[in-house]
Amino acid sequence: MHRGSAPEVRWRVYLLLGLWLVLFAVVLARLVQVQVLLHAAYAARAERQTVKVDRVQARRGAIQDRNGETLAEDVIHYSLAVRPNQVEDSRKLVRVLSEILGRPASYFLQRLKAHPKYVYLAHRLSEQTAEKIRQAHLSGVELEEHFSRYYPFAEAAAQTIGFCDFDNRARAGLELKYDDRLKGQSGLVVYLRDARGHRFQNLDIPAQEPIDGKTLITTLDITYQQILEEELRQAVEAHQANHGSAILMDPHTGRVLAIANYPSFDPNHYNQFPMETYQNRAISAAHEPGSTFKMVALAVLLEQLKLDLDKETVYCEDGRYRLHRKVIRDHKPFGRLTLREVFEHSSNIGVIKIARRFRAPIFYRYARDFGFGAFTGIDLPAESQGILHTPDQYHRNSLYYMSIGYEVSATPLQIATAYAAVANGGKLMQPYVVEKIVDAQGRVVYRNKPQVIRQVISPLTARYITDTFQGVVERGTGRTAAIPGVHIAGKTGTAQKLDPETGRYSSSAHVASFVGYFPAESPRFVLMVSIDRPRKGYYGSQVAAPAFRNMALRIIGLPRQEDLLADVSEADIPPAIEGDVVEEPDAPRVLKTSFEQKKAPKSDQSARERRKPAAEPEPRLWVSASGKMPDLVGLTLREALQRLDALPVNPTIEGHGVVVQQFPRPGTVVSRNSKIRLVCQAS
Amino acid sequence: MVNRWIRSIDWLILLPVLGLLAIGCVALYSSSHSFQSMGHQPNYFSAQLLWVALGLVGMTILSLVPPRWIQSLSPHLYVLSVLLLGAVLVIGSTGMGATRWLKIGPLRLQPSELAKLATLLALARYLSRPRVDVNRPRDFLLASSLLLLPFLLVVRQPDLGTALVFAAMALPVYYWSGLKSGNLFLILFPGLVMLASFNFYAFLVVMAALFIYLLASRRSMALISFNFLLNVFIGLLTPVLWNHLKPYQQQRIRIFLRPEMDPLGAGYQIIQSKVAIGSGGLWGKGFMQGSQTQLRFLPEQHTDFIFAVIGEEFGFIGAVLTLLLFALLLLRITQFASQCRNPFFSLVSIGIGTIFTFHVLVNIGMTLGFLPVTGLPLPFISYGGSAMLTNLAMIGLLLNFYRHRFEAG
Repeated sequence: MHRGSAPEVRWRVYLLLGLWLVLFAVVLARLVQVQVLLHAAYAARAERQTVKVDRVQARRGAIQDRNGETLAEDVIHYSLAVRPNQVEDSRKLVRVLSEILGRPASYFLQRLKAHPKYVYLAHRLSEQTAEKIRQAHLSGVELEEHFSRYYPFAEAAAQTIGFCDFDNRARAGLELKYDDRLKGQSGLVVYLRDARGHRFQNLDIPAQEPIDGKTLITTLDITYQQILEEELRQAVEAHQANHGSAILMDPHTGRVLAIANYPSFDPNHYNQFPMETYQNRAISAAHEPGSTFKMVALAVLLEQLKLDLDKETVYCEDGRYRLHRKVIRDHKPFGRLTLREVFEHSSNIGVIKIARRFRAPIFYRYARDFGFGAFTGIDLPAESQGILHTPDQYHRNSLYYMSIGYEVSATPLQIATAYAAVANGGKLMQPYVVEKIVDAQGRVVYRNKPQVIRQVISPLTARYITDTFQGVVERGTGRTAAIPGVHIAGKTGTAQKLDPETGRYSSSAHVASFVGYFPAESPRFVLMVSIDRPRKGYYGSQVAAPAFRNMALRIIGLPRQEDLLADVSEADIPPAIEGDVVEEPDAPRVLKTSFEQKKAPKSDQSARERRKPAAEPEPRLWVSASGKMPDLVGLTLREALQRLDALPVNPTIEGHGVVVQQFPRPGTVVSRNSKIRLVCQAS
Repeated sequence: MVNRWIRSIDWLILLPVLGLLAIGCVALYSSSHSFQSMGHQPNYFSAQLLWVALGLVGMTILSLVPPRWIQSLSPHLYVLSVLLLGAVLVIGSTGMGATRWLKIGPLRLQPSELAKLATLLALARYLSRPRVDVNRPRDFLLASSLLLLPFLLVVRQPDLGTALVFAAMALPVYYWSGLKSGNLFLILFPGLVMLASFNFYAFLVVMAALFIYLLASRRSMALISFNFLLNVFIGLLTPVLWNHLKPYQQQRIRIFLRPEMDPLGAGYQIIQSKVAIGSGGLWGKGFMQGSQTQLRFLPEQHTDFIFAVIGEEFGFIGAVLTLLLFALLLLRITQFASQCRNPFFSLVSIGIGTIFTFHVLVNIGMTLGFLPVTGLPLPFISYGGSAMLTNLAMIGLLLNFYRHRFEAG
């Protein structure tokens, strides 16, 4: 400092220092702001940039049939990625890739130019293709391993197995239901990522190995599955139906051996098929079953009314029966039939006339006990429970319509399960598809066991029903299902579909079905076939029963018989009857059911007028003879009254405890007016 | 003997400098490590060690030479550095949109670094002449033209940041050599006019203020009119100059105002620098533990943004320590300049202090995101041979002056 006075010099020093210190203070303040006050925000931002978590895909468990055939498994495929800036010879690269992958070199060249850092050139490459690329020893090329789902049998049991989408996420069927077990647990690797996208493993955080998914071993049998699918396809196509379903079950255990739906889809290319084909109609589409449901009425009349199938007869009104202003028709006119014949020929009128003696709660109880109106609880997603109205919801005719399989709806699985109960002596079995679950080391981690839900009917009743159903196949509507040398018990069903447009039963749209089991003396298989809206023929006997027979033939190991298809005699098909009442199959023309109450038919005005309201048919016993008095001596009063429940009687009771005397004697035919007296004594 | 030798060294200068060199080497080692993990990259740390060693030798030599040599050699040095700056424009090597380097064999020299010191020495020598008074327009213009020549050559490279050093060094040196406050204002006005020239009304207000100030200062009418017209001219010229700036320079200034507007482009550096420093927190992430540094999110981390490495790995504590060492150095230089009776020593010292301060403030201000990205290195810490040699040469001069502090000029 060489000019100016001393104070002036000092002032200059202070000014300069002051200026500099202020500037330093500004920097310091900013430092406090960034490093101390805003530290958390910046630290979070730094972590977002640098820490990347990579998931290592776990291998999804396989799905196998009961013999160990693979139905679904994860296979390794490859994605081809290229880092263009690490490629030494891009001309050679695109030439080689073009040769291996069959796309023009210009395509690859353009992709490389568009993404200079990292670009995927191909996905879902097979091991062979990947190996070819490896052998070419190209620089800057990476093959990423991925798992993808492969279904070796393509369309077989596709709806039951379900599928995973292209991101290996479960979307339907067993894949979805057992997703937790199948998917395993993906591993985690924490990476540090640098500014150029290079990755370094973070050694502070150990990598978590992926845990592979577990294997499902199902009850399905791919051989049966394919038989069902082939025959179902034939039937659906031959009868120009919309679709069809079939279920094969083991009646003693509830194991589902095959579930077929047609049209089906290929889960390997699920996106090329319409969504409707994903639906497992066999378990999720509930229809009014029609005559197959008469099995419930048969059980009730056997167990509750104790009627003798061969001695009791019923007059079938020559095929036309007026029931509370509605006309019920048979598929052909019948006169007086034994009860057995009523079921063999599937007479609606006959069944309804017997049902007039049923009490609604009891009928309801039987239907419920057979599993109708409730989920079967099968281990598959999207099951439907169908509809079974409770007695308080019934209108005047409900019980009668229900007795012939209308005003209820059931899935093919529910029907098959109910018939399985008859086949095995009365036990309703829990149906299931997964036998066991095995982990990667082969240890069984879960095992399904056959489970009896309840005893629905007595073994004796079951035998009677089987006997009757054998007659259906031997002499009745089910003849087209017959196989020489094999006893088959079964029942046809032809249900009119409700037209969603009009809310009325359609005269042209039907669901034809056949359900049965064989060999009848010791059933091993229950088979249910349901064909939706066939256009060539519509009876269960024409459409479903032959398909049933072909399936059964091949299941037993016999050659299928083409010629039997033509065996449906024309006589089985009823001629059209008068005016607006179009020909009826074994189904009534139900004009107003609980299903259609919201939509009152408008166009029916004239028809209703023509059918003048006749006097209410007087309730009377339709069975020619009444019930026989059972032997009640020795039973408790409660048990005795239960036995009498099925009879239209009103007993007088003396005392309480155990029945010691009864009037009239066992075997006596009793009717509504019979006087019945029970004498009881406390034991 | 040893005692005398020890006392001949200004430890308050030397120790902070050694401390800063150590911090620089540690930060550079860390940054260099992140480069090496990538492979293919030069090892900046080893190279810097070499420059530090060379610089310390140079510093020692400069601290021992007779100070007269320095004074008498300064015009030659000035001419040499101007020639070198000219050579850069003709045969220099180019990098990052600017031509700043002279390639001599494997070395890349940055003559603008040397020019800072040479210009300062020349300026100080001129101003320390007994009859020169910076308050006289003739002497002022002569002194200023000494600055203007290298300034323009550096602007031409273009290296706006370094060029600004020449402008920044002028004010304190003039002021120190006795510039009156009134005249200081006259010098400051053109800068104010430049800033205001982008807005017409601001320009009018500033010009009105200048007019009133000039009238009140009772100077000759010739001076008043000259000064006023000069400012008008500057005000009109500035927008034209702005348009002549390189797009990247314009962009730097724009991005400086709103760095978040382009996080992947021009604002990337500032954002990453703030993230690195901010995520360091109070104590830092530890030596070689800074994720932003090691994973190279931090750009230019061995040169312009090395302070962010310190901020990330050593936290607020490390950053403040660095700042304190610079402040200590600056205080000591100012104290020495104010006590030194040799005007040449005093002016050179204050100029050196200014150069350091300007670099430190602009560099750290840039890494903290409140000053534009100018590309000025952090003295003693940033990687760079020319800067290291020049900075240590300056310290050598300060040590030399200290040894001869009792000799009159």
